[in-house]
Amino acid sequence: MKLPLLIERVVADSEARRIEEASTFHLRLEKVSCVTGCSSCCYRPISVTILEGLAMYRHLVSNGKWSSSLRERLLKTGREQLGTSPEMWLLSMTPCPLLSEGTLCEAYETRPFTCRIHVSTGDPYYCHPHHLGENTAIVPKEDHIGRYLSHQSKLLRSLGLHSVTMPLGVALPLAERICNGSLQVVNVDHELVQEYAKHG
Amino acid sequence: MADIKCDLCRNPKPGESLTSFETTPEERATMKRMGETEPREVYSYCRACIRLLANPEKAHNFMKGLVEFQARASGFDESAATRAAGEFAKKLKDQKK
Repeated sequence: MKLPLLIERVVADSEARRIEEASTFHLRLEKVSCVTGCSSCCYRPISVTILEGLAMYRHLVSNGKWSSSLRERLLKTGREQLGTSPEMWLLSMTPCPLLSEGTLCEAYETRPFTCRIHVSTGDPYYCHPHHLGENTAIVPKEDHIGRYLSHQSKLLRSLGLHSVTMPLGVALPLAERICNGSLQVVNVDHELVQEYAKHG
Repeated sequence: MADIKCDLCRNPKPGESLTSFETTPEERATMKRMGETEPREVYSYCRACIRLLANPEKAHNFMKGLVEFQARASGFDESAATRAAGEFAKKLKDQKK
């Protein structure tokens, strides 16, 4: 599953920054109320970059967690997410395609950046999609996201790409096609436009 | 065609991608009884919203969440709002049977 050297280096750079930025965020946390098995935040619309998608896909494959049923779940959810407003998505309680039956993340070790820095310091009741509001104690993270996406944008431009984020369910199947050679990285923008036109 | 706002998610979408539904006089009368002051003759929804609400489970969750938010916005305390939403959701399920 080796990609051209430039792409390998860009993905490695992206991974290093993903972990570094998330670690910087976690270092400033004093108290966290998140617990294993909660999954309230796993009903948000999750978007990732194709670079994250590539890293996540390869991790899932090398850990034996990639399957055709997972691919189908990702494709279905990804297409549903296109064009759906975040408010509608949250209210409809659509689970992340990586959420297992036992309310655990099937890709926890390689989870998206947006998931790594989504943390609550208050009552978990207010993390439920139907209970979000002024009592929600989710730690603000806009500056971390801004820096991360700015870095991602630079890396993507080095590969000739303009689109930054896309639904998780779109990114991972695209990553599979890139890794099996049926899609060139430079055509990812075009593929995304096609997906939006068909399903958005 | 210019962008038009979906009547559900309120996001502007290309006009030709929305589906419009005409209401009947009976439907407008029902909406008035339920509190809608000026029900319209035409409502337009985007593909994403129609797709979401066409899924029974998601539509059910959506309505339940909306009721809970509306209840809290109307001044219900949290447990009362959650209870109201739960009762509404149960009624919806029972009606469906």
